[in-house]
Amino acid sequence: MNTAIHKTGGWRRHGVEAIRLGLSRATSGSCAKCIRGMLLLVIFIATTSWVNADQKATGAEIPRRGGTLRLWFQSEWRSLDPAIAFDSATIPLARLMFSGLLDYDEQANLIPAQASEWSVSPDGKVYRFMLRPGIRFAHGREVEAEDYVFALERVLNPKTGSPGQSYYSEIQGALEFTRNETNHVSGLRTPDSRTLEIHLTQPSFTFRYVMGMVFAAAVPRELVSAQGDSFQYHLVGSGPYQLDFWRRGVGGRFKRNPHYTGPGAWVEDIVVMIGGDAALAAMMLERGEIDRVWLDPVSAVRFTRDPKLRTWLGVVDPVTTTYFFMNTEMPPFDNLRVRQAMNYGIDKKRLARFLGGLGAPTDGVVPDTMPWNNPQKPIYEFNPEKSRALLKEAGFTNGFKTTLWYEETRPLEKRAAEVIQQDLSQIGIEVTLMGISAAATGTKLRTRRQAACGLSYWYQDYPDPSNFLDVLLNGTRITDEGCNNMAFYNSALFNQLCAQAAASLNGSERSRLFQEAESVALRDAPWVPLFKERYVIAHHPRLRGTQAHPVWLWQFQQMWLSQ
Amino acid sequence: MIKRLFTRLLWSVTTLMGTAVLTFLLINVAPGDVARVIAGPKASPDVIKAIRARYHLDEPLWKRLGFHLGQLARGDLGHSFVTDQPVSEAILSRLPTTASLASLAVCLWMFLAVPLGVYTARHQGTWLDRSVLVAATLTLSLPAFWLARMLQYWMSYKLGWFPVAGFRGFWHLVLPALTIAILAVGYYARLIHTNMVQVLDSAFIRAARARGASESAVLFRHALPNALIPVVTILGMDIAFLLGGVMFTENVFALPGIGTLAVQSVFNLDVPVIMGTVMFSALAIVIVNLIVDMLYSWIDPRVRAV
Amino acid sequence: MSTDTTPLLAIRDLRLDFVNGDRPLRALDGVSLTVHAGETVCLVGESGSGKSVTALSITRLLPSPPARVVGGSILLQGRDVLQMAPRELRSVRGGIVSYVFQDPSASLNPVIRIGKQILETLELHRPDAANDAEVVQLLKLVGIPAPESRARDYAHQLSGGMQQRVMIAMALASRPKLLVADEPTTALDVTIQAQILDLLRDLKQRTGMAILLITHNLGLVSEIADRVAVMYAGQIVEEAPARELLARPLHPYTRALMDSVPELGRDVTRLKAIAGNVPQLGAWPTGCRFHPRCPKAIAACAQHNPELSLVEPAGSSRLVRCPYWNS
Repeated sequence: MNTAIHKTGGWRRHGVEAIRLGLSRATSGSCAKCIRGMLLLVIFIATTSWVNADQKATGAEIPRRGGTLRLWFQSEWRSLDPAIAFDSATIPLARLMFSGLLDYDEQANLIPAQASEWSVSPDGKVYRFMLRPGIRFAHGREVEAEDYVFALERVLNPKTGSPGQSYYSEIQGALEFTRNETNHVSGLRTPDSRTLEIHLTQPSFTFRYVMGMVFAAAVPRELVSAQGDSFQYHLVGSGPYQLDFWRRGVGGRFKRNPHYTGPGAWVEDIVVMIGGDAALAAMMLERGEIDRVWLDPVSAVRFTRDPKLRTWLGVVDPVTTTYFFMNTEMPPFDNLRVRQAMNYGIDKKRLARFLGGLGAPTDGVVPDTMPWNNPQKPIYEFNPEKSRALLKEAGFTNGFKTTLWYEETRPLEKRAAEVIQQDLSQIGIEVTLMGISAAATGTKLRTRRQAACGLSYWYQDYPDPSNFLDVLLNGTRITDEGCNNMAFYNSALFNQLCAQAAASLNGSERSRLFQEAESVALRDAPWVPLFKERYVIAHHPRLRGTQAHPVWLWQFQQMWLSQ
Repeated sequence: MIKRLFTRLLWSVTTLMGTAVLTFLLINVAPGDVARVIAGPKASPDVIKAIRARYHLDEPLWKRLGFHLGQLARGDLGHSFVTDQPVSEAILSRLPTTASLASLAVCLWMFLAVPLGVYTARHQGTWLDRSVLVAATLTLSLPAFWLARMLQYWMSYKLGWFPVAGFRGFWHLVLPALTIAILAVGYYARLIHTNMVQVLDSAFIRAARARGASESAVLFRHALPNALIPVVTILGMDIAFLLGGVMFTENVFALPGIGTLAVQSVFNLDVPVIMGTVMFSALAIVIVNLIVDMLYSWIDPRVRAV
Repeated sequence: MSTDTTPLLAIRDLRLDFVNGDRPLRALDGVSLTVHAGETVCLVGESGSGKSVTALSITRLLPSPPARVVGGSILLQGRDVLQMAPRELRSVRGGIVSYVFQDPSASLNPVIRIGKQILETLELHRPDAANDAEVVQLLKLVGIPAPESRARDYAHQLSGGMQQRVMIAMALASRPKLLVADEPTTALDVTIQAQILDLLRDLKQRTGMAILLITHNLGLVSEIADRVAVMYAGQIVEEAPARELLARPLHPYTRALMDSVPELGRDVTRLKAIAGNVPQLGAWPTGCRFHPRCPKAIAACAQHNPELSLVEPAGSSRLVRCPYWNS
């Protein structure tokens, strides 16, 4: 999932808001008990990997069918319409009702789902999918290739307001369609109702991931056409579950899709409750009113201390990074030595301790939680002397003053900003902290020459290094407004490596090129990579099948109830 | 009577207009690109443009204000940025929850406050009278959030007498209503006490006693209705506030009412919903005021003649 | 029960305190008063003299605390009111003794229709007659025009005189033996005062009830009273048949009161006000309580408080609390 404003308000809304309540209390509490609790939590998280916790729970048990899974979310979202859903709460729920051609296995490899087979032409410009026969929508009709064409055109149509629209602009004729010059996307073809052919304007390796996103899930074209905007209230898809009812802001229920024949779909009903905060949800979990909750730090500490509740905990490591960016177009960060000095001057290990185990240090642009990595990447070890020396070389013998922008509503960022402020004061840099709203990050951080430095974060959209390197640091993508490259980093070498990697259809060559690109970027130091978030989840002991997924994180359709 | 009603209505409309303009300006001068918040960071310029047009975000502020007021005049509160649901629908769908909570709370506290107020007025200086006074002072300064949490922790979480949170039936309303009732009962008991003491001292009470009316007739038929007349105004205001959303209590107990809607909309920067809930609160206050006014002439015959 | 020898009401040596904190303040100091069936007795005195307290004490209407009876007895048809259980007391209130108070607008419940208030009295004391027809009858009896529609009015819709008529109707509803009218005309304007007084006199004749009229206006006495008791500072200072008292007031205070009464045709500026003020509760002077204001006071008056004693001027027998009545 790619980050930014929407994510701020969306994907991590739940976890983040939950954390908001408790973090300051949990981490700044002066009482010895509190600190001991935090330490326990750190130790717990450090020694627990999700798989361990879950294997212990599931063992070799055979999943049981039936029962009602009760989920809880902090707040309502725009829609579970697959063209709209784009955050941590909605994607797993949208995936209950909507399935696509591709999916990911437990190692984050793309696998066919509703496609029986798929192929990419040697020039990388034509993607061809064969539909598995007998897959039906919840209302009974069989899924046809035309439904996929319809779904993709719907995402591309600006009137739909899909946040994923730009992912599909590589499709031939998408631009003309978007501008309303044609009423059909020429690159979407259906030689027969079992076959979907997608023609791209240029070779693309990453388009396969784009087709794995929920935006590309099939929707029943006749229902959507008939219902128009109100489809989002009467969602029908071909996924394992179907919507039973939904009360906005209150919650709803999903029941099993009787026509679904794929894996999972163990529980009969999935009830969703909305509202309240995470500490409250933790209590509801303990009383057995819900089955699963994303814990806030205070509850996490409480669960860690309790021998019984400790066994309910699990940690998920999403592919995410939070970083300190420096605007390379604005002094003093236009100076490479200054940027490197910042990298030496921030103590990430200390920072991680202050995050109470909810963030682990990270050194690359791409977090190592992605199944791709770069063993040769340069790493800056904390070294204040070196930092001061670099500042002196850069001509800042007495340091300088700067303003650090961060998102007020993200407690981990807020805490990180405070720790960075302390660290940098040690090397003579006086930092003013400016917390702003999620909405204001758009005009402040993403607009050219506005913020000299600040904190931002990114969650993967798909498990490919291009999703970090190309999206966040490619200089050719810089725009004056709404720019994802907040460092406004523009290195000819880096850009070229990215372009080469993007054009390459050879997996290992792409990987190598991206490794080189990452090393270039780290040497140029537009960022100080800070930490990768970790989520602490608690499950009711009766809930099974909770292993974290490397891309989807959690899949409710795989969960089942032991009693 | 008609003239008074007309004046009141005029005032109400002015109040609502003022509220509308003020909220609009307050929220819209806050920085931030709302269209991007709605559309997401990767939204193409076309999508952003479509969204700006849809929510009229591309117009100058004064034009948007005019449009907003025009919308309001037609009873249209716009669409939520987050859920795209019509705001009026969002509010109305949550009104039953808030209204049930409010009525249950009002019933609970009046049910307790009336006997307490009457008893303590009749038996001044007793230990109960003193305790009610102390309790009233204490509960007035009690934070709703804290009390709700405490009740929830002990009664639901520890003892399991009530569900912790959520709304799936009457039982889910009891503890939240109790929270509100506890916060209000002391104040109302004292209010009724004070009015009762005053009324019990009046000549018509002595006259009633002189006619041989029983003590309960004196208290409940003669004194109480008179003592409750001033309570109606305050009760009306409180009901209006409750309908506007019991922010803390609703949020603590995760009740899907107008209060949680308001809080969520602020977290999400959901401007139309923020404005909608504010307008609804203002409307509730204005309407309840009008109703109280009408009610007055019904419960207090003296007002009718004015 | 009541015979010729048993008076309707016999207050004997009533002493009553108001307890304010630890300090009891004496309000009535040995009041004795008798009312016979069918008799009209006027209790006269300035405000603060204790006449209203006396009136309310008859059915123990003073809230206790602060009021506390410390001695004496109140016999109503021979039964001691002070010993009555609450239920019996309630049947007496409005049943045997009815009240009409000074301020009719405050004495009517503002939120209950007047017909309903009258009906309440009927339900309490004459349940068999508790119907709208009787209410209308009562309103007609006290001279209220269009009684059917008036019965549905609220107090504020009536004039002061009409309100007092309603109060009287309510008082009569139970056909009481004794009507205690506590300053019934004070709050009304002069022409209405006369009408109300006429009404009372008329009703007394028609019902045969006794009336205890509490007033500060000695002028009313000649119009209605059979007998008069004059109160000063918690004590009766003189008691006599009305005619005799008016013809020859014996106590200096009575004389002073009479001098202060405006007579028809007399120039108001020549009215003699009584010098000084009524002494405050608990600040009664030693000796004769009137002596600081008495024009004829001598040194001995300040020494001891005289008894109310029987004297016989010109062949009549009179009660007066002044040994120097004759000088």
